Amino acid sequence: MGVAEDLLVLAGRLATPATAEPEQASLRRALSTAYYALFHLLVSEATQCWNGSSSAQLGLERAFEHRTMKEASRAVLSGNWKAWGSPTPSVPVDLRAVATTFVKMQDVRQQADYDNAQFWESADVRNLVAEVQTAFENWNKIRTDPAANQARASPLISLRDIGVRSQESGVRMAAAVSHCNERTCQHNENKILVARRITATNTSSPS
Amino acid sequence: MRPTRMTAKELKEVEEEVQQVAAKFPEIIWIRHAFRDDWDGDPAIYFQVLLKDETTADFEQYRALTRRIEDTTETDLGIWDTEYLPYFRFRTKSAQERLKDPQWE
Repeated sequence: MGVAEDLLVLAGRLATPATAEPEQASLRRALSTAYYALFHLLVSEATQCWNGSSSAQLGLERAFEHRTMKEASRAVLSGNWKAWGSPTPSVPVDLRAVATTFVKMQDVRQQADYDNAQFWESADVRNLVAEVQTAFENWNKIRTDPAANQARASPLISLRDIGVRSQESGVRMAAAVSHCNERTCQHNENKILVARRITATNTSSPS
Repeated sequence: MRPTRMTAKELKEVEEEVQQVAAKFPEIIWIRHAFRDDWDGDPAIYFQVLLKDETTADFEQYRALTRRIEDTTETDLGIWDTEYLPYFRFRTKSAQERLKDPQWE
């Protein structure tokens, strides 16, 4: 199993703490771990076709920002999604479900990690972890559907939004990822280095 | 539901719509909602749903119930046509009695 799947398994265990274990701390870690399971699933899916070195792959993965991914998910949910190609295909139901879960879990994760005034109930937490499990299943449906190829390289995981924010280098990186998603990219370390520079210069989210 | 700057009348309408959703589900003891920014500062509407204890007896049924409540609320209030992001928290009566969470009193 990959990191994302391992994290999901761990989240399930943490969501059902033994009597002797600290309940609230375990439930908080369950929620945080479940969110990161989904986050890493989407990031790895977005970059897996990249043909560069492992260090370049890491640089690309580090360029993904929680906030940007949330905004892209929200665009899917509000019908404002613009795909890479034209015309924009209709949003598959499963993709919409994944976007819903991502937005929800990002807020839950932040509350679980930072808001100590919150109390969590086991059933609610297990429900949320199960929702992430369903998101994994929904994503697998999308990725095996040839008609959903654009959705797979979708705004959920794309970096085009960074380019939209008029950062020249962001545009270049988005273009690089776009080529990657079209499966026409060649090994090109220079483009990855652009992505890594952006990672270094952008203000990162507090995660 | 209006996207922004709701008037008192509109807020009352939202409250009525929320209670109409609650009335559709006999498993619900009450639903509360609050407008506030989410962790990222985006406008959001948070729903707290207190459920009867028996709803968690079967976990799959519990999951299905919470999903139906979320879907019904989002549809009936037209939330995705607004700028508000919906967030739901569910809790059973006995869990609240044990946790004694002031945010759920």
